[in-house]
Amino acid sequence: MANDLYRIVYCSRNLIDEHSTSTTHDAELESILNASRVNNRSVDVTGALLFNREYFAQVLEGPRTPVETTFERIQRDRRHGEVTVVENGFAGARDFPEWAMAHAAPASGQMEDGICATLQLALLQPSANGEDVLLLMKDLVIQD
Amino acid sequence: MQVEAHALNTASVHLTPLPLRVVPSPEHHARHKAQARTPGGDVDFLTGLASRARFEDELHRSLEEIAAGTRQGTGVLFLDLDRFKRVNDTLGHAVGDDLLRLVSDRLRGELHPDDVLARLGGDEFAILLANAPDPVALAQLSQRLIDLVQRTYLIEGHVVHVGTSIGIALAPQNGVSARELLRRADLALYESKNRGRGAFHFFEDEFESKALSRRDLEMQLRKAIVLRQLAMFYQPQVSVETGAITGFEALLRWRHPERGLLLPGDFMLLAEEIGMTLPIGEWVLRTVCAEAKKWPDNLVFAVNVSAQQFEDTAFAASVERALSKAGLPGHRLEIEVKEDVLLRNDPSVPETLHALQRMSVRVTLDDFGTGVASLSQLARLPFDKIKIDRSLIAMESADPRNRAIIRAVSALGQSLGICTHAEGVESLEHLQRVRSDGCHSVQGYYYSEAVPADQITQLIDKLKHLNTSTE
Repeated sequence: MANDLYRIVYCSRNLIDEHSTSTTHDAELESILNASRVNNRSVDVTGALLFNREYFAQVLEGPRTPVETTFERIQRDRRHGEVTVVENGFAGARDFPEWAMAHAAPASGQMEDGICATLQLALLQPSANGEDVLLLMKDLVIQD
Repeated sequence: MQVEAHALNTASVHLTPLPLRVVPSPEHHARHKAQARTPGGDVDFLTGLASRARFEDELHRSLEEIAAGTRQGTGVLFLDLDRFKRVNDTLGHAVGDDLLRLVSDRLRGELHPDDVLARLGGDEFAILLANAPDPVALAQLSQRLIDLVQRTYLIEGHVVHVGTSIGIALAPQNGVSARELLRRADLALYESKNRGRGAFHFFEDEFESKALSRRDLEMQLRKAIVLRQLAMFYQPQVSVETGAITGFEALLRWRHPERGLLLPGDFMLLAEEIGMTLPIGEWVLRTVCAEAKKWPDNLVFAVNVSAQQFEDTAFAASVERALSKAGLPGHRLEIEVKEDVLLRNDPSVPETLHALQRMSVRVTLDDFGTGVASLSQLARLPFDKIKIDRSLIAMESADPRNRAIIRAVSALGQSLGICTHAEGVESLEHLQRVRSDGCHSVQGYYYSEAVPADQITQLIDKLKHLNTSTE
């Protein structure tokens, strides 16, 4: 069981200092992506990370134990809060097999509102909106 | 032994390699390693944290240093987990143990390497600060610990939530003996739990007198049933359509010899702590059933039941006993439970709900709209009535969002065959508003406050009169 493919999706609120300039903010996010790529590769975890000034959303998939350990490490990171698991369970196949951590990046500024709305809903009613968050991220990564 | 070692390994993959960082000298290190093999030693096996014995040793040492003038001060933080028992009960002890390890790691990560973090037992933790504490920094630390502990855990495929409350005592300000300091940290912890959990408090002198008066109250509460100081008051519930009384909500009061009339909020938390919820609950059921028996068959009497009482596996049986002792048919009794019953996700809850349904006892979801109950839960469980919380009714401005909630609940209730009831109706304006929003019945000061049993006749007459005069 512990080695079957397991997946979680969570959303959280971005707490990186809101007064930071957008360059330092982006640098911080870049370092989060890089750190998670390094960590994940060694434990066979793949996934995708979506973020903007307000929210994070992340998919983690892999054997259950490293997925849970990775989540626990992320959970202690004080650069975000209100971490809400919107989906968790065993999965048939990886959605991001080629990515230690894909960056789910919106193609244009216009999509920003839609993304915020989806994540905000997911934080409010996690169980009802987990699927939407996963679909959104798959969409964004493929476009990318 | 091997299993234990393995579990500790997995939990600490990315964490502090040493379970204990407070190692004053190599000799001491050797000593504690040796003692770790014996029960009652320095190390808590489950978490790798310091044991209670070790914590007390370190505390004594710090206090001696303060007395000798070689140390400025120290502080003790007591923490315990909110809702831990529930995790253990529903997900099993293995998950509970993993949770304790993860909590330990999260706490450890926020502390200074020289702070002593100990598990005192069960879900109780204590921190002894290495440095003389600055209150502002300590408050920030406490808030961080609370925030971190209450974040979601994923354990063996389960999503787990707990919280923590913290009590803080400082030396030398709050005491110079270990005993005094620990007791005061404990009193501060009690204050945090009492004020809604997920909070921290520094010890204050008034906690001492509060603890004393709590002990008095406890002695008196133990005797209150026998001395016939408990009483039920009754508040009428009225049909919006006909204006007729449909029944009464029975409300518990304690006629305290010195303090006057006490409301449940003044003493039920204490009752829960000293294990009196169940006997008081039984008394309430018996008393209300006996009272209901005196009144016409169309009047329904509602009784408030705590989550603890409702989850007791013997609850349905005690309702059955109370009904049969009074000779009261089940449809005359209504049980009101609050949303926290749903939150606990206890497997006994749907069973009890169905058992009550089989006896024709109605079940009401109380205080809806204040917390966590979702509309989908309403659809899943067999409730007969939803009571919309007074806070949604009382808004002077009649906030359109609250009205939208009331309308949505009423509409959903309509389609599920659940009645909606508005509490806290204090004026004709409130009544008209909730009527147009689709509520079926109401209660509140507009009709009457809760009255003692011997005033029910008078109350019924008064409301008949009010009815004819408004028609």
